[in-house]
Amino acid sequence: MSVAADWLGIVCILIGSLFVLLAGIGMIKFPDLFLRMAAISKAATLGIILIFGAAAIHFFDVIVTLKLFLIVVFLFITLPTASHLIARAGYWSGCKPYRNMVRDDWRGQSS
Amino acid sequence: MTMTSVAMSFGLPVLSVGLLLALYRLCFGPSLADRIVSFDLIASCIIGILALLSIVRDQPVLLDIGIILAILSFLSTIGFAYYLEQRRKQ
Repeated sequence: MSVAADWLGIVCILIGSLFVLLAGIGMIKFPDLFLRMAAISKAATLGIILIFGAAAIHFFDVIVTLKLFLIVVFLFITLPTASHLIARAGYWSGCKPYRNMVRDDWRGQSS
Repeated sequence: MTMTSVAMSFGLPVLSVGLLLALYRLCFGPSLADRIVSFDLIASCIIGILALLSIVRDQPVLLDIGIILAILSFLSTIGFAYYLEQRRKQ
């Protein structure tokens, strides 16, 4: 493996694991269900995908890269969908945002 | 400094700290929806740890476990969200 590819993988691992750590800090510090959900649905997705890129650089194989591409596409589709479902269920089960909403399209409706 | 040593000495401890922060929210979350969100983050952290372990041990078989874990966490999240909505309607 060339030196440049090795350094690219190292940078991918560093940035990806720091993004996952940021998602964890957001889980602790954010005051609200919806903010926590925004933290994990963006930061954790980007971190995981960067770590998978580092794995694809490390193995440098067609089959493994196809497998990693498959799981990246799957995560890109499913993680925002799951976050949307949790936010919807949390809204209807009575979780309030920590400040008043500027716009609330579901106000006054009953699920 | 190679990719394996960086993954072992930096990536795995940082991901483990993220896992611990998510476990704190799983224990002390104020509502059930917070616990589901933290469960999602725990699944993501474990998938990342599996990818880093496959780099460290040089075994691409561990990535298959990551695929299975991603599918299972998505299904369980959907199940929990459906349970929350149905519990409210009763």
